[in-house]
Amino acid sequence: MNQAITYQVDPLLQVLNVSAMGFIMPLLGFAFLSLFTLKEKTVWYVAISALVASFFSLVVFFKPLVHAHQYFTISWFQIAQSNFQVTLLMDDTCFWVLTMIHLVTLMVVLFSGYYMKAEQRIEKYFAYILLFFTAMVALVMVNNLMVSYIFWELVGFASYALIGFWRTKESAILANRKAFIINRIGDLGFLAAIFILYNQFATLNLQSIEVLVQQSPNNTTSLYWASAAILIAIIAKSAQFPFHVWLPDAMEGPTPVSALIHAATMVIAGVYLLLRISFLFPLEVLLLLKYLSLFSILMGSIFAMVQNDIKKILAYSTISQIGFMLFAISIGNNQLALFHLLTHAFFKAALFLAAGAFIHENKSQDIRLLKGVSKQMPLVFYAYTVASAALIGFPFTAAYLSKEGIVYAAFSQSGFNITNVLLVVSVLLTSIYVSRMWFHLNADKTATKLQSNPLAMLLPILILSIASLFFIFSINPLHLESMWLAIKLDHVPFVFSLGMIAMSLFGVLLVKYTPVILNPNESNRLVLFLQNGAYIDQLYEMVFVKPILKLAAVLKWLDRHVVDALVDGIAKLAITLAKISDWFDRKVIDGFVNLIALIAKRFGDLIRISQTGRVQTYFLLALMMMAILAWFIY
Amino acid sequence: MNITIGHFLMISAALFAIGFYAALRRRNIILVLIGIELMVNAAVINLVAFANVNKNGNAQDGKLMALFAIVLSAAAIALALAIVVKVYQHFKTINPDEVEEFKN
Repeated sequence: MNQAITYQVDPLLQVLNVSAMGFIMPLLGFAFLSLFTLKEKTVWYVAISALVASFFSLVVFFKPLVHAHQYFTISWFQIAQSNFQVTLLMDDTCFWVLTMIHLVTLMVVLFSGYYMKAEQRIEKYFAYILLFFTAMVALVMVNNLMVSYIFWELVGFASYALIGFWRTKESAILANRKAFIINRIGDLGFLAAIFILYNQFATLNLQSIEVLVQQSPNNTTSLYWASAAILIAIIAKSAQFPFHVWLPDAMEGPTPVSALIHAATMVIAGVYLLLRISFLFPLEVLLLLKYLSLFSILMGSIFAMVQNDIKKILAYSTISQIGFMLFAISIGNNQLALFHLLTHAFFKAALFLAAGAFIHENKSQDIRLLKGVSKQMPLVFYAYTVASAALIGFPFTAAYLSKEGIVYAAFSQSGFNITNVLLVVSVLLTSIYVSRMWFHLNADKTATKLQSNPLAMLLPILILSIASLFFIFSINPLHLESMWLAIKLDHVPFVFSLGMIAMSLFGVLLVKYTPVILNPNESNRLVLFLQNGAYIDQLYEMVFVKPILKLAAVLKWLDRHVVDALVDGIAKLAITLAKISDWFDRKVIDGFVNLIALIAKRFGDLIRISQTGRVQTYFLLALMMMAILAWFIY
Repeated sequence: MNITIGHFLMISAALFAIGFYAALRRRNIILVLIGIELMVNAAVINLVAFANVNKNGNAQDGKLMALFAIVLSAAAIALALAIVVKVYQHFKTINPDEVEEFKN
């Protein structure tokens, strides 16, 4: 099988392939922006041109090379008998996700020129975005777990750097630390999975692993462990329960960053990895994933219903929508998950960018204070409405096709049961929180229209909202008749579609005629409970953070009083030894030397007595010598 | 009274002792030199006396030896006196205790 699908390429084409990877230009852009200090406008142009060049190479060089199941392998290094390779994927899934990433990143960078105007350290901002983009593109393309891990970490780092971009803001720093630490937990799972899989299969190449798994399906124990470990990585990166807590806090970063990283691209890295590796997952782990993702869907939409911060609503909505994707994978429908991933990326990026425009013009994130934006920026608000409709899943939007597809797939797989009913309920909840947001933003009809609508603000929002419409993906608004995507969808019965639409409409009407939902009573215990995210943060604080800090304090004490004391003791011992040695040297060795000198001196003195310098003494001595000589002779 | 070799030796010893005392105790270099000369003369007396006692060879040999010794010591004394003149010019004294240049 390996032989059959390896596509032989001649060296020239390989070079072309490498340039076709498209991340060369953004990487250069990142290096350029990191090294030089430029004017704000120049920085923006550099970032845009790097992305446009990348987009160009994607369409012109990469697209013709794309075939189903195509990949191409570069040997990286060899340790003993193990050959480590970098495998680059060039299949349809890869191409579509790359296109989405390119488009969204380009739009976000365009929008950043408006949103981040006159910010400090703007070149760092764009440098991080380009770094993130490079890593994300590479993460999508490589099909080798070790190399994936490197880029997995890199996107995490870029996310960390960008959440904390406003580094003087205390809450932003806390948020990026939290995101980083929770992602580290997931990374541990990833690493563990890498170790287990390498131990089992002696390769980290996903194609090879897939072949080996199909050949010998009886090594299930290690597969359980590996898939459970990688599941931790996936739900941490994709912000699913119980690792979702970092995503709402990550909204402390600049809004375009939230649109790019925490809605459209990085958080779907987990889903994408799962798409690639789902062959590994035993049914039991898939079932666990199913319940986890269903819980995340419901939890995200319920929390989103009571939030007042527009970005937090969107963050919880992201958790919920990613839950839909993971749910689709857990019921074995990877194609639908990919479809929803793409549609979600567009409408969520549009929502975030529109929210960014509202926030930027009104200096507030509270939907109750943003009530005039429908009149203030009508065009942006129309785009926002389109994207909202996509999020709810109304017809004529692309997300209608994907979301309905997922719900229908769930029903056609397991019929009418509690999980599927909950899924439908979550569709209703989604409709409720989205329309609550919409009605708030549309509340004040008296606001004055904004005079200047910069193109850098309007263009990305409009393009992304248009990309959330059906005709990007299908020529039929009510059924997916794919134009580009090779996705096979069951034909959804008309009654089912009608039911779904009715459910969504019911949600909208419910909000319109129920003021309690529009403005939940803030003193209500339940509302407070939900607004604080069910106190999960506080629970983690109590269960994990505090004991760890206590442990750290104990370790610190141990370090100070035991380890340091030991070290100090050794040092003191050494000093004492040195003192003894010093004393010995001074008193005994020096004494001995001095003694010899003294003896020599005394002898000298003894002889000195005779050397009086008086002639007569010398004379006497000579005579005495003479007498002694005479005495010897006789 | 019969004069034996013992008498000569006693005279010689006395002369030597007187010269010895003078050489060591006088504070005048010239007198010290006279003391030394006395000791040399004591030795010469011994030589003459022993020459008389020896009956085996020519009796004049010992006397000739004594004459040589007298001449040589006279030469040595002449030289020493010349040095004494130089010492006096240099140190303005001929007290041997005050001439301590030899010490260093």
